[in-house]
Amino acid sequence: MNDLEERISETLQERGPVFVTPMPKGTVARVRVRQLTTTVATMSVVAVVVVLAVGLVSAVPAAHRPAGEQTVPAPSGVLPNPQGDPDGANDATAAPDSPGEDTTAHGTISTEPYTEQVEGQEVYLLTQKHPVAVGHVNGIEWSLAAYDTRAYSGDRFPAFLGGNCGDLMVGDQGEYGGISFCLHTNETSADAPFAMAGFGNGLDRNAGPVIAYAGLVTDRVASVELRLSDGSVQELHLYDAPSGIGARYFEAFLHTAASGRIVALDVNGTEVDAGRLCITEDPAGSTNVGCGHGLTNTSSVATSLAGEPTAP
Amino acid sequence: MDLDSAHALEGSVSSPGSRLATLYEGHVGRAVALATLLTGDRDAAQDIAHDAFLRVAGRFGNLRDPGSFGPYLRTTVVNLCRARARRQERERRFLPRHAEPEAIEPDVSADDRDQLWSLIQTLPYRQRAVLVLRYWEDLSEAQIGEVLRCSPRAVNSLLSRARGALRDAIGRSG
Repeated sequence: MNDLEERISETLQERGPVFVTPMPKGTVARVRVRQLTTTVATMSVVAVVVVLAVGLVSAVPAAHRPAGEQTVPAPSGVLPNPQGDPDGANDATAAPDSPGEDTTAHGTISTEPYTEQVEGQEVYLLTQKHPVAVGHVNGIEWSLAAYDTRAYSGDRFPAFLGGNCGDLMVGDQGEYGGISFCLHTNETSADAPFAMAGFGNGLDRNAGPVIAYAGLVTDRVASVELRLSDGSVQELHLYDAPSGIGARYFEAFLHTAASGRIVALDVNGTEVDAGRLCITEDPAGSTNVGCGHGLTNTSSVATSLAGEPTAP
Repeated sequence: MDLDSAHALEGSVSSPGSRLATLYEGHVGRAVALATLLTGDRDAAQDIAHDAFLRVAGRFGNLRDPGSFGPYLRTTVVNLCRARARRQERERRFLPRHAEPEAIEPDVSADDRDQLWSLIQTLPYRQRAVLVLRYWEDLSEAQIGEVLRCSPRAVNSLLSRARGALRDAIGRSG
C-alpha cells in the first residue's frame, strides 16, 4: 500500500467510526409488517402466475395448439429393421384432417410399441407380431403391427383364413382397444390385393373420439389414397413389414367421422380395390366400433378405462 | 459469520424480538458508518442504515443463506446510498439554486485528512464507493464487483481513476 492509499485508509477509518447502535422501538413491528408484506406479495404473484397459466391453457382451443408429437419412429432395436433403415420402422404419417392435434399429456408406461399378445395365440400365428409404425393421436399412443397367420377355426380366437394380418392398437398398453384385420377374410378373396378395417373409440372425453383406418396391400398395389367426399385426397404411407411378411401396411386417423374411400392403385394409377370409410358417426360410449371388409376382430377397451366417465 | 449473527440465527436468544435486536446491534452500527462514508451525511446515513435493516430483515426468511445477512445489508446500504446520490444529482440539475449550498468544495485550509476527506466527497459516487469498499471495508476487487454489480476489471479501473483524481487534486492544492 503506497502513501496515498495509507492516507485514504486512515482518513476513512477516522471518518467512519463504528458505534453499536441500539434498535429503536417499533423496529420489530416494522420488520414483521415487511415480512408479512413480502409473504403476501410472493403468494399473490405465484397465485396470479398460476391463474394466468391455467387460464391461458384452457383459453387456447385445442385446434390452435401446436401439433406436438404426432408420430415417433418405433424404437430401434425392437424392430427387425424392415427397410434397412437404421432407425427402425418408418415414422407414421400425420393423421389427415388433423390440424388441431390434441397434445394433452398422457402418461406412458411403456417405451416400446404395444403389440397385442394373447396366451395361446401360437395356434394361428406364423410369425411374431412386429410393430411397423407407432405414433400418437390426441395424445394417445397407437401402434400398427404386422404378422402372418395360418388358418384357424377354433373357438378360442376369431377365425383366420390364413395370410398376412395386422393389428392397430390404441393406448400405450392397448387400453383403448383396437382392430385386427387380414387380407383374406370372409369378405375378401384369398388373393385379395387390399383389405382395410375401421376403428372407432369415443370413450375418453379428454382425448375425444378416435377414428382410425388401417389395412394392408400386396405387391400388386403401388399406392393407397385416402379420398374424402369433399374431394381432398391424401396418399397414405405404406409401411414395409419384416421379411417373411409380404404385405405392406397403412393407417389413417380422422378426427371426426367422414365419408369417402380408401383406394388401392397399381403402378399405372389404376384402381385395384377400394373400401369405404365405414365409421359414419363419431363414436361414443365404452363400446369400440369396428368395420370394414378386412376386419377380423375388434378389441374392447380395458376394463379400468371403461369405468371412466364419458363426456356428457 | 460473526458470533452475534450466529447466535441470533441459531435461535440461542429466546424471542424473535431479541434475535432482531442482536442482529441490529451487530450490524447496523457498521452500516451507519458505511453510509456515512458514502453520503458524507451522518443523519442521512442513520436513516439509510435503518431502512436497509428493515428491508433485509423483512425478507430474512427468504435469504438462501441466512449467514449472509451482513453482506446483504452492506449491498443494500450501497444501493440506497447510490439511489440517494442519483436523487441529489437530479435535484441539482433541475434546482440549481438549491444545489449551490450543497456543493462540496475541497477545504484547502483544513489539515491533511480533512482535506483528503473533502476531496473524496467530491468524487463521483461509484469512485467514492470503490474507495470506501476497498480501504474501509477491505474487500477484494471481486467482492466489490459483486456489491456494485460490475466486473473486477471495472472495479480496478474505478479505483485507478479515483486515486488519480485524488492525486491530481492534492497536487493542485498542495
